[in-house]
Amino acid sequence: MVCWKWCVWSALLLTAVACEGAPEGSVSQPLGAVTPAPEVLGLSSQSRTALEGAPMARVLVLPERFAAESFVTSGPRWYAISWHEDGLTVSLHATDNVHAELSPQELERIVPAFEEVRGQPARTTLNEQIRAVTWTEDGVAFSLEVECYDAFTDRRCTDPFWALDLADELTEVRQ
Amino acid sequence: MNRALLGVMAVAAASLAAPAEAQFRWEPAGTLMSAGGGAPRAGAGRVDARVYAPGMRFPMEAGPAYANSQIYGPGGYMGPSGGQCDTRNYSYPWYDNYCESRSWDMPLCPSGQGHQGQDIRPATCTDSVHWVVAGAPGTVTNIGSYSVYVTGDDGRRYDYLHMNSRRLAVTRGQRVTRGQRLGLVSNDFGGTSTTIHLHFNIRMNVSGVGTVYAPTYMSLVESYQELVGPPAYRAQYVDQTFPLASAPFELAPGEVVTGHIDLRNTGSETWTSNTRLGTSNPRDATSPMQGSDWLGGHRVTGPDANTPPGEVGRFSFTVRAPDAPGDYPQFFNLVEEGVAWFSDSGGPADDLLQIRITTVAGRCPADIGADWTCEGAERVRCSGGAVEREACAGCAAGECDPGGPADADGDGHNTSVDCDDTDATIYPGAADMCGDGIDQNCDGVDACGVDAGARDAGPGSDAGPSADAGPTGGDASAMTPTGGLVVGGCSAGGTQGAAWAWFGVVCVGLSRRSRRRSR
Repeated sequence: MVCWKWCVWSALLLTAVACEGAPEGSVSQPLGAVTPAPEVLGLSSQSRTALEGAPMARVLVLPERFAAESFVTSGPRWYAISWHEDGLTVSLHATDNVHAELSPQELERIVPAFEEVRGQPARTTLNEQIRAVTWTEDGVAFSLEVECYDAFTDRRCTDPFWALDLADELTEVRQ
Repeated sequence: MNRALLGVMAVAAASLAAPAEAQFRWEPAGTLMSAGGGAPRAGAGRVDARVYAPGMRFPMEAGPAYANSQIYGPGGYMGPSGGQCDTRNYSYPWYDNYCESRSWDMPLCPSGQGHQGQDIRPATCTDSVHWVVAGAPGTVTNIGSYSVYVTGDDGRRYDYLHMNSRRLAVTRGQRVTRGQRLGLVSNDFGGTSTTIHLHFNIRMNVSGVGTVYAPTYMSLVESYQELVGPPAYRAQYVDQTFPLASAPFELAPGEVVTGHIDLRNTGSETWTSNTRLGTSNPRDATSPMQGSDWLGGHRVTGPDANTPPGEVGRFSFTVRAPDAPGDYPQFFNLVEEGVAWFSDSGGPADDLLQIRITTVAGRCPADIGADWTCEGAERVRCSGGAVEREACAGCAAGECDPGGPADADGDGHNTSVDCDDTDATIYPGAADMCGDGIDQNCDGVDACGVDAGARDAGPGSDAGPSADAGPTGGDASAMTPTGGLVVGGCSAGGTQGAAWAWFGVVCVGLSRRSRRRSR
């Protein structure tokens, strides 16, 4: 009996020690397969393979109308979708790797997020007319960016809601 | 060569100190361009010395390159008159332009808004000849109308904007190595154009904030230094014998302390006698703690020996606590005479190396005891917690040589310090009777505050100017009780401290309406 308790406590202790050194948001559970949703079935086989390799539990994809021209890549701590057509480029970037760069005092001074997508607080910004929406779901940080050839006149880039609405349309495809 | 002459030479040489034109110089992180000609300031930068992409390669294949502002530089929309090819845009120092004034949300900027990345001009104002290269190995994850994104294995993303979109060297999904060519610096901005430059971002997931455009400036500075080689003149603090600024270091007035500062030569040039420790912040100010071995009031010394790159150079010198009680902070930096201050070359900053002396009265230096000892022609001793000095014609074994100032009353104090050499009860350190109008201890006042002047004044009296002046011209102030406090060392503050300073955030977002609320 004593031995059994000792074993349990040792296991818990070892688990705690192991978890202490693990990066925030790291993968700890086996990943489920990607669902055969229309948004996925419309992808090229190369992109489907890359999507299966996305290393995080939460995987979002662009709506079905973007599937045929979507180009998916993935790496050890990220996956990305790139779509380009008709003077518009859409980029979705996701990573579960968190970089602890800021001190608590610095974080206290960060302006809170004022937007919301997919039920999460979201930030928007404009980088050289490239409109970006960022938010975090289940430890995965997403960034959706919209870039237009006619950067100053194309409504898809000048209207801040276009990117926000597109973010809300993203589909979760990991089972 | 006597020291006075050396001092004069140092002054002359200091006036020649100017940075070499080709020497890479950069303003600290968070320092934005301040446009001339009455143009508005570029905003509030983020003071952040962290390197957010360690080991990154500089994103242009070759130097020189110039990080500055397209908007606030000459020819820019908010800058001085001129064109984008103005030579001022193609010169050092670099300026940070992360957080430069924009109306774009940026959570890490002091105002909550600003410019996301860093604008970098290539070596020349020529379109499509300068290569942009990958800052880190990764995958080309997106190519837009005027952007290329490369994502590293760790999820950091590097954005390269405004390259010539018709001549890109990579395609989507391509794996690239660190330093691999991506495209040519150009002015592409989709259907319009911008100035010839690379807009470079680091996009990463920062704990507590989410995915943001991270400060790029110090990653660029570090990688550029790697690209162009170490600066000619750069030093890194190693050690010192003077106490650090955070530790008290008390000395008596006039107390002399000998010590050294060790600095490593991290530049490319050997330090010689032309490499000197000078006063800084402000530069070339005459120091109140000048020791007798200094080259001048604002030049301390050169290295003890020539110091090649990579070696540690020792700068040995003395500091002397000022006579008047008080706090005397003094910054130092290295200067290559006639060439450059190290802070203009590779560092350290002018406000990093510090010796801080606080002179405190009421104590004697450790090397001055109760018995008379000779200091040159003077003799000194500690009496009642104060340093007592007597001028002599000569001094041996604590005794003034015959022929020195007289001690007619035989009280052990000669006329250089004794305010009444006819009365053996009157001498420095004697008990001063209150209210008798007599200054028995020669401190200039009666013990109860009655001015002794009425008694002492007059030709030939102790307080009279003629009597006060001893052989060395000493006066009553030389006998003022003395003591001292010195605090010295490498400041914990300075540029590095400032670089970690927190910034305020103007909650501009509070005045905004979110999409949800506005609908």
